[in-house]
Amino acid sequence: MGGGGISVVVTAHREGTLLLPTFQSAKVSAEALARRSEVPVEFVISLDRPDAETQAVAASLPGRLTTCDAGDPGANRLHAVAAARHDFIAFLDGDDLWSSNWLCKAWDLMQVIEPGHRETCMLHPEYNLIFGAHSMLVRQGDPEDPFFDLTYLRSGNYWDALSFCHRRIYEEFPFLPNDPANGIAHEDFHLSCVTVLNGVEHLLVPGTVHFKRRRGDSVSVKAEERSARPRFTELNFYGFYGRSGKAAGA
Amino acid sequence: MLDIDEGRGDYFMAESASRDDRAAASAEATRIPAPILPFLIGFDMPAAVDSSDQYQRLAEFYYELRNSIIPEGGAQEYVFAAVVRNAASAPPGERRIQSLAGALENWARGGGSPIPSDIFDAAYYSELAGQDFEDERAALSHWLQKGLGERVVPTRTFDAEFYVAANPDLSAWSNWIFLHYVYHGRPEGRLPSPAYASAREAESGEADRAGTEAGPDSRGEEAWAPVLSAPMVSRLLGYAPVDRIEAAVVERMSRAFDGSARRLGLRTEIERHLLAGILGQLFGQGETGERAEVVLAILEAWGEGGRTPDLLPLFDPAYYAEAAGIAFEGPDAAFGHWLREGVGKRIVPTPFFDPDFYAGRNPDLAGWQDWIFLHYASHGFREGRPPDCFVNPSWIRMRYATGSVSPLQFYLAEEAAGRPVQPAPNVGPFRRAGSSGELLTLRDFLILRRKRGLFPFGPDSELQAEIRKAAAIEPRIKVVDQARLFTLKPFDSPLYPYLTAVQQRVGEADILVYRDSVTFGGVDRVLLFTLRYLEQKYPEARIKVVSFGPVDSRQFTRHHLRTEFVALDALVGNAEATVRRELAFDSALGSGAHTIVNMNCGPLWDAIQIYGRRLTERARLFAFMFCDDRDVFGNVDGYPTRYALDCLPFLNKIFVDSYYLRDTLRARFGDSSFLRSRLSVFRTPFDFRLRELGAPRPAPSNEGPVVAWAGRLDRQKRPDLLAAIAQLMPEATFHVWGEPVLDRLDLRLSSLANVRMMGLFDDLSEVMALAPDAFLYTSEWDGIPTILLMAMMHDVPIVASAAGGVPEVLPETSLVRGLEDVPEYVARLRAAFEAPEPLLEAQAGKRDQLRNLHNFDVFSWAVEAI
Repeated sequence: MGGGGISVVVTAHREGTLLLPTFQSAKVSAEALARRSEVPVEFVISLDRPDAETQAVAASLPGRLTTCDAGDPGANRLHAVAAARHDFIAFLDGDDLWSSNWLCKAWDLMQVIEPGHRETCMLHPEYNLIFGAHSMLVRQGDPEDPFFDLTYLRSGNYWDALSFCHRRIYEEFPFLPNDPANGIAHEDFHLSCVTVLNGVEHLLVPGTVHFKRRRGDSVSVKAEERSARPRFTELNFYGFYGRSGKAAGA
Repeated sequence: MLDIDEGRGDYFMAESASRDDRAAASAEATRIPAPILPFLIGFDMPAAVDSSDQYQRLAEFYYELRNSIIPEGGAQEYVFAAVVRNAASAPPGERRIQSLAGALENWARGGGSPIPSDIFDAAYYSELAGQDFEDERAALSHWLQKGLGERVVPTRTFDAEFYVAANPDLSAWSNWIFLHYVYHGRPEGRLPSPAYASAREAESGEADRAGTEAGPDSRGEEAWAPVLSAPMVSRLLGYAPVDRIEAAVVERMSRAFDGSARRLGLRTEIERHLLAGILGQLFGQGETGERAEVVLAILEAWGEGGRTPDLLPLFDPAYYAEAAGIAFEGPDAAFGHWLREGVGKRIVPTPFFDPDFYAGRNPDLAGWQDWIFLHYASHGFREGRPPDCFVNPSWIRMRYATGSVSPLQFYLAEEAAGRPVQPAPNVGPFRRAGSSGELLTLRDFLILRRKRGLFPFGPDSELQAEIRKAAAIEPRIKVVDQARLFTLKPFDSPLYPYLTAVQQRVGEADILVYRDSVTFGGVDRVLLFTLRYLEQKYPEARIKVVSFGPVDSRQFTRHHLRTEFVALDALVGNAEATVRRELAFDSALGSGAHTIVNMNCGPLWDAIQIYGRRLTERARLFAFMFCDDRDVFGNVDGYPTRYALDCLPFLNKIFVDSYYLRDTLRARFGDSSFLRSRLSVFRTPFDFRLRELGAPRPAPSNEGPVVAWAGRLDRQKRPDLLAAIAQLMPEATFHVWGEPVLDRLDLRLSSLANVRMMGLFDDLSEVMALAPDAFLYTSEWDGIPTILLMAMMHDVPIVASAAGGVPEVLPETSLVRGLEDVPEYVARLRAAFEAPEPLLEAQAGKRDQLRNLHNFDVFSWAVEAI
């Protein structure tokens, strides 16, 4: 491990052939970076209880394949981080796509951050474009916005899991497992809250976009998730805002 | 709202995703891709419309016709859609969808073409093309695929020379002028030729037979002449015919308009047209006559030196001043300068308009060679086209029922009044960050958006380039997608605007009691004793009552409670049920309370039902339940029915006010130890000291015995039974007290000779002050009615239906077991008149029993689990 390289981590479960355009977008993004920088990039494909089709598609791709039996997206990501060889982790879900400029711009931004601070910064794409069953362009939360407000983290997640950051962040603040039976889900939302509370700086990478596929076949899954909440953090409690004076910005 | 984040994190927004998912699945199942339909029906109908039956019907027949007329699709599709669009003249909205769907269905099923002959005349085109076509569809197909490219005007009605001359504002239109008429001119009511009126008359019969609506109003020869003679007035009224307006008014409008133009220093005809277009767009809503009045009033006030009319959102003086880099003396100076010079320099004078978004969103404007803002200022505003990705006028109109006011002006007025509204689906209202959490105006937000370069739509922007590149890998990512919504965090959450304000109002607490509202009802009596109990048991605790409805805490003040009452009604009164539910959860958790008590609060019931398990991580949950209710169909409904089963696992205890309700729940869920451990019956403390009746009434000789009936005149209390009883007892007089709810029953009651409607009462002692001979109660369902407990405090015989918990507070001698047994009520009442003593004795005995049950000690013991 080490060397300041980037491990592109594609996590999958039962995505089947959807993995193909996903991986292609990661490859295009990595090639764009390779044209400008010699930073080493590896591809890790991490499968969690995959079906046969996903297994076969993943095996055909030029990435290092690793499999786990977690049944939990956060655990799968942590499994992949453990398998990754480089310092910086860039997550991509098995049915989403990156913009071609994602790795270049994220890497460029990371380079202008002071070396000692790089381990405490999480970079996110500026936009998410939802496509498929729905169509929406969403700008994620930018702490630089004058309207950025921590209170929002009581109602929704500012950033999803497809971030770019140093592996130590995941080692220090690992995703906690979901527990649907007890109404606990949204591990990435919880990570956002925990990292914010622990001083991790969240930055948007201007001009970048992640393409998030919305499939129409996941209604039942949604129903379960809808009645679930992330694990509670201090941010859930009114006392936090009075004590810290953090009613507004971070 | 859509679940924008694959269901991860934005759990709140996922609420209605299932509906959207269903709509999407339905569209997929019927294989109706419908990207062009918004163009047909008026841009940007809300997503909910997509799933309506009429919308699906429109989609079905539109695509059936399209596939038979232009099977190859392609560039002709927009022209085809524009032609078809003219088959209905209703304004964008449900009526337009319905009208168009009907016309297209009729055509698709072999009926006549609904296309107006001034747009496409099949017989005339057949002559021009020198061919006999099988039918109108074949002729239209030929024109779209051949005649269109050769610029063959397929109607004898359209006179291009006349059209250009009559519409000088189109001098910059460089595309084929007939297409302007098809796309815009006809919907705007512009005349195609001097002979149009007679042509319209000839075709009106055909249009009726085709089951479609007429196009623009039919106008006689005399009608269009005033349009041309007073073109600015016509334009001020949105190209409306001015023949129905008094000549004197037309003249006044012309004069006032000229005065305004002079005041602004306008010199050219084009500048004057632009002024008329903008004023007509902004102030020309509603019927022609109303429009004329409004516009005239504004112009005359302006001309007489009054202040410049508010031209937002088409012209923003301060924004323009900054854009032009000039400090103007006032809004007039800025507006005049823009009309004279800013237009030439193409300076967009308002933050409400994004040229790149507008051009990309409206591919039908590809032929518009002039400055795109002029299209919006001249046409797009009235057509309801979104000027910005965060401003959707059609959606505002549908969401808020704006009536005849333009949606954007409605939005700005609501915003100015401090009422949070959304300018587009999935975004806003906007609030500033911070503890004050005041509203951020849409204007300020849009200026901020421009300054920070958010959501760039320019074809050269990096974002658009990246979308194109991704689409090359995954074509299901659409580069241009009219259905795409736009949002940004934190304004994507409908909950967010309320969070800070609710946090400030509720604050931290140890014990929270939730209510729907706090008034003087029976539940509030329970609330009073619950608070007294809690204050005694937890002397140091911060106790608060959170009410989603109004709070009238006067009766609590009398009891010197230290509990704080928090009324959220003014804040969340108009919020959707899902938002209220989330706020109940947020406050219950956020307050840090260790004990949460639900005393008839719907939003908290919803929250417990969904998030109950999570709430129990931090707090003990309790609930009070009272009697069930009935829906309009007579089905059992109410909080116990809706929530008891789902919420039971999360509640430490449910306190029910009657053995009747306890037994009802046992009958539903079985008498298990699980249920038993969670149910507890409480008795509302009551002071059963006998009250003195009023002085004997001055009895009219013909009044006979008096029966008092008091309560809400609604379905539950069965005033129809009361009427039936009164009819059978002409010898008695019935005093009916209470707020009328059911008009028909009120009418029936008041028409009876022996019924006196007494109006509202504050306290039962008012009713009893008239010393009635009996008190009648006819409820169909109930818990423990407070009014009967109060009635028991008076020495008046009571006759009551044995509904719900009533038998627990009345002696058997007072009860009528068969609810509908009218003769039995009559017999009991007559017995009470003749010999009241046995009833009164039984009531006194029951009163003694109740004294031992309905007191604070017993109540405290029953709720001691809290």
